[in-house]
Amino acid sequence: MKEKGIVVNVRTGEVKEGEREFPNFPAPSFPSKHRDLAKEIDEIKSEIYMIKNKLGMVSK
Amino acid sequence: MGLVKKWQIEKSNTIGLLDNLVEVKDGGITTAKIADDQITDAKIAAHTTTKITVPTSKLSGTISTSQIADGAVTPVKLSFATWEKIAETTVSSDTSYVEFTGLDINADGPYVLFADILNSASADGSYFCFVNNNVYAPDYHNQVMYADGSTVAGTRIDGPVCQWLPAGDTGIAFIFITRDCGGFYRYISLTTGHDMASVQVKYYGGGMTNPVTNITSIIIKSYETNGIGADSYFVLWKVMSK
Repeated sequence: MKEKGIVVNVRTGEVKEGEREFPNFPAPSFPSKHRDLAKEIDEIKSEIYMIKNKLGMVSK
Repeated sequence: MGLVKKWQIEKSNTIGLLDNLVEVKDGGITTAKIADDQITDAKIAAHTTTKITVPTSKLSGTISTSQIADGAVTPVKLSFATWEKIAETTVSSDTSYVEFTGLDINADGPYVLFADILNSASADGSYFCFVNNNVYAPDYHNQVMYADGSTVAGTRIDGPVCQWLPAGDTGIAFIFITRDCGGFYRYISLTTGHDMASVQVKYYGGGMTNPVTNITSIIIKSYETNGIGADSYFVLWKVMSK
């Protein structure tokens, strides 16, 4: 599929609309995958803290 | 010098004689002392080769662009190399890529590209920094290191990734684009982005697998279609050659 873009010629200063084909390839997963993982870790940490707190294991 | 003329000079309050040369007693020649009140080209001997030295004390605030023949401080008038802006563009409607053509990195030296991008796509997505019309991502590699709260991580993936933004968020990147001494396209992208409550810092470095003879174009491409939103802003600088 062709996609639309902007083409800037730095020698002439001309700016025009362009269109070109980009080959398909898998989306880079980073850093969204790591971000999701980090979120999950944070959530697990919070849950552990809450459980420890309920069990009276958190020093006040 | 005739005796009468000499006598007139000796009697003058404004001029005198010093070693038989006429001197100005108050130490200054103002335009008021010149017959037509003007210092014209004809009054400057060999002015094409003679340098006029202006004392530093007289320079402060006295030379403006209006006093320069063509009214402009242009790169050729500088005696040193500096960064020179060669392109600037603001995106008027959502688009997929911004391409800079007419480049010559061998003559220009390294480029710096500032990319202030709104991810206008409906999905989170990466941005690539392709060169020389080669838009095949597997021909490139990049290493990224990023900080997200207490998480600091990194990975190496294919593609010249130079930014990553969640859908609807904005971010900025300073991308240093070079052809290194081995002939390889290499770039560094220093970025930040996301909503402020979860702001991230990401640092990308990468390039192309095979060496190149020159870099003549740069393409910033969003992985998602129309992922470069209206009002996204780009500025490109080169090192002025001297």
